[in-house]
Amino acid sequence: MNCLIVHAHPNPDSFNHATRSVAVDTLRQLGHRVDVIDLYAIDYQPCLTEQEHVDYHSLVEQGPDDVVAAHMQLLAEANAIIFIYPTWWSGLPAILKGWLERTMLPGFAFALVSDGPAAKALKVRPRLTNINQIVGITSYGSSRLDVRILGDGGRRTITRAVRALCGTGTKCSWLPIYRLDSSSDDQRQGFLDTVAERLTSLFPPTGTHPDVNRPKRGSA
Amino acid sequence: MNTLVVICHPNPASLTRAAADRVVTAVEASGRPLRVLDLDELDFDPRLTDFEVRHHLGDPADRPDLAEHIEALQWAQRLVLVHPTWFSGHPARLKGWFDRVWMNNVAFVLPPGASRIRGRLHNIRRIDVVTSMGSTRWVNIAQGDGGRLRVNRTLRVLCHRTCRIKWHTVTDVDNRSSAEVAAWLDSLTEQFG
Repeated sequence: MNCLIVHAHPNPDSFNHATRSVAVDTLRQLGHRVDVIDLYAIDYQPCLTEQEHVDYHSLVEQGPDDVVAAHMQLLAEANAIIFIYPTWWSGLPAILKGWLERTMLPGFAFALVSDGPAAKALKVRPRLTNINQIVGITSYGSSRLDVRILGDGGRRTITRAVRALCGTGTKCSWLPIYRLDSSSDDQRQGFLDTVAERLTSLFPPTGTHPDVNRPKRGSA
Repeated sequence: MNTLVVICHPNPASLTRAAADRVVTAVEASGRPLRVLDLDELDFDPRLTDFEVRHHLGDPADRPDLAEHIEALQWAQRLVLVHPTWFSGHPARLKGWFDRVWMNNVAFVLPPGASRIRGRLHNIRRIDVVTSMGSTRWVNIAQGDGGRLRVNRTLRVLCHRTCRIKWHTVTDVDNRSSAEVAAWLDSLTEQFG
């Protein structure tokens, strides 16, 4: 499988980076192709520009900037997207939120279509139907209960808004660690082990399972 | 009431910008103290830095580049957010404004031994959100409604305990007639006057 990891954390010594290393090593050992977009390392600019907003609906035909185009290419080749990030203020770090805004463009990630001439409103149709799996790996400062109460907007953005671009049949998996700041070394190591185990069960070794690369239900 | 208007949209010709003009003009005309933070004009960098993450329980004194924002946030009694809704939530630049400016000893404190943060923005008694979205209300809910949840729950608990929130939303904006959009803009003039 082609796995695309999108990673957002500024500190290379962080637990978040350790999580990413485990994910990359695990998936590569299983024989999968792994591409990593490390948003902070490439100094990614997350703000939609004025010109991008003006040309938004024709940006794909006109050609987006080189960085966005390269990321679109990686997305088009991927069977799975894995987001690794810390949850801040119940959501994605700005750099990752902006990556969605600049990369998931109309005509590429989704299409706006009209249901015949009688239809008044344009509807959104998924275009990332090559994505079979979405995985979110994230850390929270709050407890599981507090995250539930506060709404977990980041998880919703990924498991609802991003998943909606992939069409039906895309599997979403969530690998959270709560109360990271007060967690012990044992708990952190336990989480890294869990990440490796879960990814191994979600992405079986290439070759051993002939159905792994089969197109998902509902894809053309 | 000290009113802080935070504006986020890259395109001067956008509906969001027109809405922001209405809000600012109405507050100015009312004579109430007003401050405006135009995040695009200020070219605000929304990316929490390595330093800021390492010192996430640091002090605002260590963030001279954010001083203007922090001071305005602590001054405000009414916070007005004017922005488009993208991917059911705040645009990256505004999300990053929360990530960076709503920091320790400004928006919250974490007392020693406590497991939960405590709010510090007791000066904010009212939040208004002025936003437009391309999707309908139901589609936005299906997409997670991340922006609304963040303001109504996560941020609100940091403000005054009686803090009220009002949403001034225009949904399904691409399918609205110009008369409907104009009526929405007029309602802003009325409500912020």
